[in-house]
Amino acid sequence: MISPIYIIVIALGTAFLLPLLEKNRTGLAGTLFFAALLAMTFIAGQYLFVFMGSAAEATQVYTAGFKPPFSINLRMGREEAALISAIDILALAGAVYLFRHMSRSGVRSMMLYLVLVMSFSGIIMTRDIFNLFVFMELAGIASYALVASGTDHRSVPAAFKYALAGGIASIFMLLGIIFLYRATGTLNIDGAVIHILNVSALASPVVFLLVFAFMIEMKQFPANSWALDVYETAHPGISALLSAGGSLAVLYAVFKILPIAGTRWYTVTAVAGMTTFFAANVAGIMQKRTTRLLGYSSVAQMGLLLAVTGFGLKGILGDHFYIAAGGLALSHLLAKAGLFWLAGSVEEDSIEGWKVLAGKPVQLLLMGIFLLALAGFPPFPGFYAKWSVITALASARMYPWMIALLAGSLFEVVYLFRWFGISVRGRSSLEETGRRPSPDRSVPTMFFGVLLAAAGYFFTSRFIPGSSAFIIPLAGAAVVLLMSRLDSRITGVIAIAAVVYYGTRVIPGLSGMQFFFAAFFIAGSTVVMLGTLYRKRASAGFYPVMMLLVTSLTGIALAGTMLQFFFYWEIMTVTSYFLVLRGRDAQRPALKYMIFSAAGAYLIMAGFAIAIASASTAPGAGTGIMPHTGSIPGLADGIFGFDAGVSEISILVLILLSAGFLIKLAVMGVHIWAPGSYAEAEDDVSALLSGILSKAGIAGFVILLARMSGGGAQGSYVLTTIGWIGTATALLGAFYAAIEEDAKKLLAWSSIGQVGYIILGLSAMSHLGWVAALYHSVNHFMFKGLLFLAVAGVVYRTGTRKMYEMGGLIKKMPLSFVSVMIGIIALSGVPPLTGFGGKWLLYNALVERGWYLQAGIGFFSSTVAFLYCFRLIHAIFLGQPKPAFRRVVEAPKPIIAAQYILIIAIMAVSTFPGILVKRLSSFVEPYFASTLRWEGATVHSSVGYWNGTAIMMVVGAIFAIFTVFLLLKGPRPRKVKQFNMVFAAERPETPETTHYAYRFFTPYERAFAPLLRPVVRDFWNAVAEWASSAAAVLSHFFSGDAQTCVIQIMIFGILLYFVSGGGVL
Amino acid sequence: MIIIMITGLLLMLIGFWGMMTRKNMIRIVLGLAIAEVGLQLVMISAGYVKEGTAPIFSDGAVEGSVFVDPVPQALVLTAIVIGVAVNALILGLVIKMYRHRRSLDVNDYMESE
Repeated sequence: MISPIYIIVIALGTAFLLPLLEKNRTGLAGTLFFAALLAMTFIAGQYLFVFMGSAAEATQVYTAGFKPPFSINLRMGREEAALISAIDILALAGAVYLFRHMSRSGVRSMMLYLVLVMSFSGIIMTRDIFNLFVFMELAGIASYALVASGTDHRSVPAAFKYALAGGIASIFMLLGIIFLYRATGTLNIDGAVIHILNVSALASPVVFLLVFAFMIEMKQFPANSWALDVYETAHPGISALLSAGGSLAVLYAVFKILPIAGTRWYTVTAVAGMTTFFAANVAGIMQKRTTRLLGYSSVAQMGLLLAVTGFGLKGILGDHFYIAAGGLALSHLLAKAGLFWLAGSVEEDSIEGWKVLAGKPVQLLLMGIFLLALAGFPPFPGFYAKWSVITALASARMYPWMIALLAGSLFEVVYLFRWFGISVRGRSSLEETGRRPSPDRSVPTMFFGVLLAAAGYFFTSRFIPGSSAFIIPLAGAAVVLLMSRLDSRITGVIAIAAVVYYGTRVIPGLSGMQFFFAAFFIAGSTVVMLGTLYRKRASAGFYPVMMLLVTSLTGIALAGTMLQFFFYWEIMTVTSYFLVLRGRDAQRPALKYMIFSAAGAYLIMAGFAIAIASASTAPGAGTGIMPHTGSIPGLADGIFGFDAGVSEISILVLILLSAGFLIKLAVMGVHIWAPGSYAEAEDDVSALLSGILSKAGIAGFVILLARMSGGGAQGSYVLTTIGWIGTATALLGAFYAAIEEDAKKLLAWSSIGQVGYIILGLSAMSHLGWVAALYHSVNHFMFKGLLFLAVAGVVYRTGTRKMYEMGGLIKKMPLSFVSVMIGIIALSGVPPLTGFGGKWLLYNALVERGWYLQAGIGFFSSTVAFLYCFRLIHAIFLGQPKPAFRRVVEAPKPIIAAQYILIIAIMAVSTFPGILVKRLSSFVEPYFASTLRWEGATVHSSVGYWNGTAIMMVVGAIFAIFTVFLLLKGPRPRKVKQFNMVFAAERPETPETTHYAYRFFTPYERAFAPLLRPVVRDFWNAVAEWASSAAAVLSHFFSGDAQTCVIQIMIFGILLYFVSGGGVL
Repeated sequence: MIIIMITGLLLMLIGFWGMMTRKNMIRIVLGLAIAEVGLQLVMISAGYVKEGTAPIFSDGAVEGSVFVDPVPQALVLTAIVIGVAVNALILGLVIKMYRHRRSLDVNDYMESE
């Protein structure tokens, strides 16, 4: 194998050779430049290859033929090989990206570039601290010059700032080095680690100086405003190399020298890192310029990595240190470089300018991959890294750290996905002006996108058992994506066929709750997808995303471990976000959806982490941090390996997980994401969101609460609280629906309210309650899917969602009218349709449980529901048709077909409720002994009985009798034209409709005004306001001239001195 | 030698003070240079051995005599070279900035929020 020292030799040799070729031989110079980079990559790569294959010893290179401490030694081990290979690949791809820019200034940039890459390798390999200093200075000089060579004139002041910061850092570093030498008599890092333990007199100032210097180099808050300017103003290619590659090299240097500092400094480092992570992410939400935003994200990621390094050295992360640090580093390197390159190709400074990306699927796809990886979503490595960090922190009971990490991540989600939303949805008038990026720019970016996907595949196949099953739908989605140029109906049929096939593969082997939820998700999605077949316009990516969503929902139902569950939960979040974002004006609602979903997901993550921690400390429980090491029973057998309702820890877990699921269910207080998302999503997607997606939260709840059935947690105040939250949600959801003018928002509010009943049923923690909840879940899907699809058809034809603009559509859209009619009867809970059964079960359960007040309020809410149900029929279908909609015809066939499938289902379940209820009862039986008794078609509970079939027959008979009576004896109305007012008392001058539908329930609204005050919305607005103010203050802090930066660095030094306890070891 | 070390540390403080208070960018760079000189003094004094002679190995070396530690001196030489290079580069940047804006006042190159 070629000695690693040749990495340095080749780079320096080529750098010195290049000026000789400057005249007229730039072609040769370019070839040489790339050859040198390739050779360096090859040398590092061969070591990586060897170390991947076996646990070989690290190679040591001794210069000048002496052993240390008399010579400088370089080490090439597993970590070094991996890091250098990664950085060299980045440098190579970056060189392709930058070549056009660099060749403009002759060979000088190429020389600097080579020196920069070489010094990164040197920083990583050297074991001599003075040599480390030299390489850092070399890297510094090369990067100051490269930054200043940018086309942006602001890059020179940025380089100046950078150089001053670097100068100060190197002064402190040298001072530390010389004292270290004086204290230990060696410059060798490993030697110093041994010696420093025996020395105390000089040790503390030495350590302080070294750590301080490296913290500046690591861009720790508040000594990091220089880095932001550099990333913002340098050429994006240079920023990519510095941010993605250079930072990691310096991080590795910190990792090497921190053991000199000793254990106490690990915590200090972690504090500094986590503070930086949090502060930079908060400040990030105010950023308007993409490269600066990426700068904040870089700084934040470095802070996180530094904190992880501190944790790792402290031993908190155990074996997972490499997963955590490696996963974060890999995600950061690939995603950040890719995003900087993308920023360079888009050539739009401001976030708003990224509208030009709208309608460019390849670039959007790349951007999506990079952003997801950066924010730590699955399947990318950062997800597993964050999971292992969080679980480790939970095991160590470091809860404040978890909060900081998750809160910081949430802010990161805010600014990354706002940017993405604008890029996807921004409709710029100059849609076509965005140029296609030239291949030298797009190829490296795509290459990194592919690498990231490969890394995600690698990690996922390692950590998610059975994820290979996920590959099938993924491949299917890719195939469908490739065919998206075909008519969307063809791809739609293929997608539906694929989902059905997936269902037939998965469902038959299941039983109990797993069967219930998997069948529910797959069958429900199939019906909704049928309804989407009316789209004519090719909709790139719709069906692939849909397929992934269905698979992830099934994955949630089938998850056997918490990691698996969370993996699919996050995939579900992401895919549904993409679906919401497809709506025309969905940019802001989709962002809200993403923020709340992410917040909920982080709560769930924290809950899982603490659950795992408590399970692994409990005697006899053998669950590791990465659950693939221990078997955790799945949904079928109960639940994940912890017992809720026993200790304070499990109450905490219960609260965290419940909060996470409740956010997904959009209960009162955290509901504000829902109306907008449901309303602005594409019309058929709304049916999916409301009917099916919200049940994912129910599935989560069932999985969680199933664990508690045995424990004495029945009387837990947490459950009572959840029950009350459900009650309030049912009531307020109904109220808001009643005063809504927008048909889809009305249904959205109604969904929120209906989910409230389901939560109420679940929280009753009894057989009846759970059967009621599951029954209502199915029922809600059927009638709400029906209503959303019917409204989708109406909106599709009329082009408006405002109900008062419609009216009189009964003649134009009779089939849709019937759908809505059936839907609202099923919703309102009057016999004979399905709604009645749900209400009957629920009230029985509540009475049984002694929750009379809740039952009363629930009953009242059902009455309020009549109000909005009436509006759906009255405002849309009754009254006089508006002239504008004279030419409206019945909704497209596929959408009607989907509705009638649902109607058949509703009718079947209404007539023979026993089929469904008996099954649900058997699903619930493992957790709660059945309290239902069957006598034929009659079901007896402890408080009453119900025979759905008989009711259906009685009502049917009455209906038939009246119909026949009216047909035979009824008055024969005479049909007249719409504006024929002959039979009216007056005759208006001009034809006008007298259909009154606007602000229909204003009197009720006035009566209940105090109850309907938008307290919650005001609260969240205040939160947003507060966050922006904090971000503004912070980002003000991050800006300023070079002198401010110097002062900040000095302040940071003083802070560090005091935080570390005066530098005392 | 302790005096030299203290002098060096004082020079560093003076240099940093200059960097934090002067508005002229050339003076700021000079502040950095002064701090570097201070650092170099500290480094040399750190390697001093009482009554040691120059660490030059030659035939005339007296058996039993003490050298000062040669390593810090080697380090100082490297540090000086690097320092000069960095300062030159920074001054180059200042010239480039001056050409663009005709101002040496550091406040004129404020990075906006």
